[in-house]
Amino acid sequence: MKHYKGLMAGALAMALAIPAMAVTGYADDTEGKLIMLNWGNTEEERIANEAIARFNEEYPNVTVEQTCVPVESWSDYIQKWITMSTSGEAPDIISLGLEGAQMAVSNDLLLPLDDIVAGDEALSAQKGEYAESLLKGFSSDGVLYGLPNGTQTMVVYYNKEMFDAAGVEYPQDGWTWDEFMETAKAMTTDDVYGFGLSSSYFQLTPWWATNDASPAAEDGTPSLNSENMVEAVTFLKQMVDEGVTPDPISSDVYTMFASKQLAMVGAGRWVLNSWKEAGFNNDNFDCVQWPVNKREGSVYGGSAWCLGTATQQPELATALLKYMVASETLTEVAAGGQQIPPTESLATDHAIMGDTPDNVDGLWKAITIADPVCAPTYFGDIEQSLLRAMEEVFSGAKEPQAALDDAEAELESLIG
Amino acid sequence: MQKKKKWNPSKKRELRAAYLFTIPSFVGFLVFVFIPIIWVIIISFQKYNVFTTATTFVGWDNYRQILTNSRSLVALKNTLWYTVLCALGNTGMGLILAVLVDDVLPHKLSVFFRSIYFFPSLVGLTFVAIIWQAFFQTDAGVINYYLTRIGIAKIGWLSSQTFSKISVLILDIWKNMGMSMLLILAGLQNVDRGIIEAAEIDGASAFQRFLKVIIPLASPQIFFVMIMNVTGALRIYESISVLTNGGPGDSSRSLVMLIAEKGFTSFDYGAASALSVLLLILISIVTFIQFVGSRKWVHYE
Repeated sequence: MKHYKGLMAGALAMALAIPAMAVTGYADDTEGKLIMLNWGNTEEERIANEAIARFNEEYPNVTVEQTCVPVESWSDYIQKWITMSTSGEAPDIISLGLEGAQMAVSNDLLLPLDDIVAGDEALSAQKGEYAESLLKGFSSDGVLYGLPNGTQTMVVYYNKEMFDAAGVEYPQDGWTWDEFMETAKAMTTDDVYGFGLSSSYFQLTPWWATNDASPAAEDGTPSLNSENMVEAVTFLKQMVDEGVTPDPISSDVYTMFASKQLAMVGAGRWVLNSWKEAGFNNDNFDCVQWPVNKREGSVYGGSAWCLGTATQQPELATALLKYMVASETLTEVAAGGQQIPPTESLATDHAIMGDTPDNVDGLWKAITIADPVCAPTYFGDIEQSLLRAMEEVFSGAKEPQAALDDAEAELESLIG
Repeated sequence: MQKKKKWNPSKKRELRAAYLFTIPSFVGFLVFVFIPIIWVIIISFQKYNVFTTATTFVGWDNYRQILTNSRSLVALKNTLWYTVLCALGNTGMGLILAVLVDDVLPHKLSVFFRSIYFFPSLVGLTFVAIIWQAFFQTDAGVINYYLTRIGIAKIGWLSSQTFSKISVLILDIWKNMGMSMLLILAGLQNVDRGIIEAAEIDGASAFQRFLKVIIPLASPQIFFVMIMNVTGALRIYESISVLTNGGPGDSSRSLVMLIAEKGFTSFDYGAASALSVLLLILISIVTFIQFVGSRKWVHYE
């Protein structure tokens, strides 16, 4: 019986190998050049280069040119893309942040991936692994345009030692905005702020989500001055007025948390490496879900590999796409310590995610309850308008309602 | 009939050489300045889709849109504020440092200080911006730490509508005064020592010598530095972008920052071009006024 099983397995392996060999045999001769537009630091560039090297083992005659740029703003990244396209170097394969996805789709820059994924077993299997919410972020009108390779979210980190010293109970999942404010006040002293509020678009989103608000409505129109948005901004302004947070415009809250000037701060996974280097371990910090007002929530962003409409070689580009989202590549991206892997199996694997802090699984939980970072087709404008309004509120120049009304009017005239 | 001018062969050769020498800079001007300006003027009358490069003629719409927008007016006001204070600050500090280095400090030290003052002009602003931000932070910043030590309340250097421009001004002067100093210094070193000594013998005080002798003699350099600083300040971008990014709100935003936002965030090339044309006109007017005014105070020997 044992023998028979082995024989079956052998036959099965042969059967599987034959088409693979056939494909490899065909691919060997394919010649061509693919242009890749990637974003990130040198580490991310290196990981992509290694995936390209694996692709080149199968396609030795295909040259892949990677351009990897740091991203300051997604509009700049799209601008880079346009510049490459107009100078005859239109990228075939692009790594795109969620923030730029709808802008790219609405301007016809991306190829729909549904047929490509459906026609490919490996990609179909891969698609089933992703969190549904992530795929939704990279879809428009039900059509999929990107396969995610990493994601990011926000939870609240707190310094356990400070809480112990102050005799304040650790926060628990499901805590409310009121409980949060009480805790922040209890933790604030002459040298320490209870919470570090960061006035960036992504970092602010959990406040909108947990108040059941969003800068743009479901139909894509701006809703900066909706009742729930105004209420959330008023709460943030109260935080500033009560002095439980340092100045949100000029403060580097992640450095302040590492140097123990803050008791709590909101962040994703990207801060963990530098905090661990600063001596943080399971004994002195942990994380908890975002405090709740109207519903539980957080934010997720992330990036995905997409194919450009300008590509002349969609088959080759698809072949490369498979290598970019293969679990080997995703594991390497996750091992870099910045991003959270986009699939549950990888994101809850402690060999990849590490064991610090204790509640490291909370990061994946946050993604499952999170809203995507609000990124309509006019992302650059909505980001600028909202952040300007926040600065006006925090600097005391305008009241929340007036600042958001003005921003809404400005934005509507911009997108006309 | 006018007689045709006759050129001898050596003159002709010289002329040919002259043309050959000017060709590179002329081509550079044509490709990188003249043609883009024409292109910008054309685009300023169009709605331009950067993704498809499709264009529609819209007449004066872009101009109307930016001239009626309160944000452009704020940016214009800020730009004029920067122009007056950055230009005066950069030129003034440059002049003071140049006199310090040239006249006041002992020669051996002057080389050392000249390098120190010029150093900021050599470093990339993006790198030092991190340090300046650490200085200017409200709650963890170096400046506020010392201010609170002597009993002064914290100042929102980057986060108050009043102080954000002042922070930019400080950074801009720190960055650019070295270059002004170097250029004015070149002028001062050309001043005939004999004239200064003659003034000294006639009983002129140090301040009188400075005001009545040194400044008039170095006025061509000071004028050049002034023009450079004024046009530079009208186009101020980097010092703001690395420090406040135009905020809080629009309180420190300049015209060029607004142009960049219109062009590269909103992808509205039409409005960005119209703003650029207005800025070009503004720079031309200011420079013209300076040239006319200069006849009164610049002395060419």
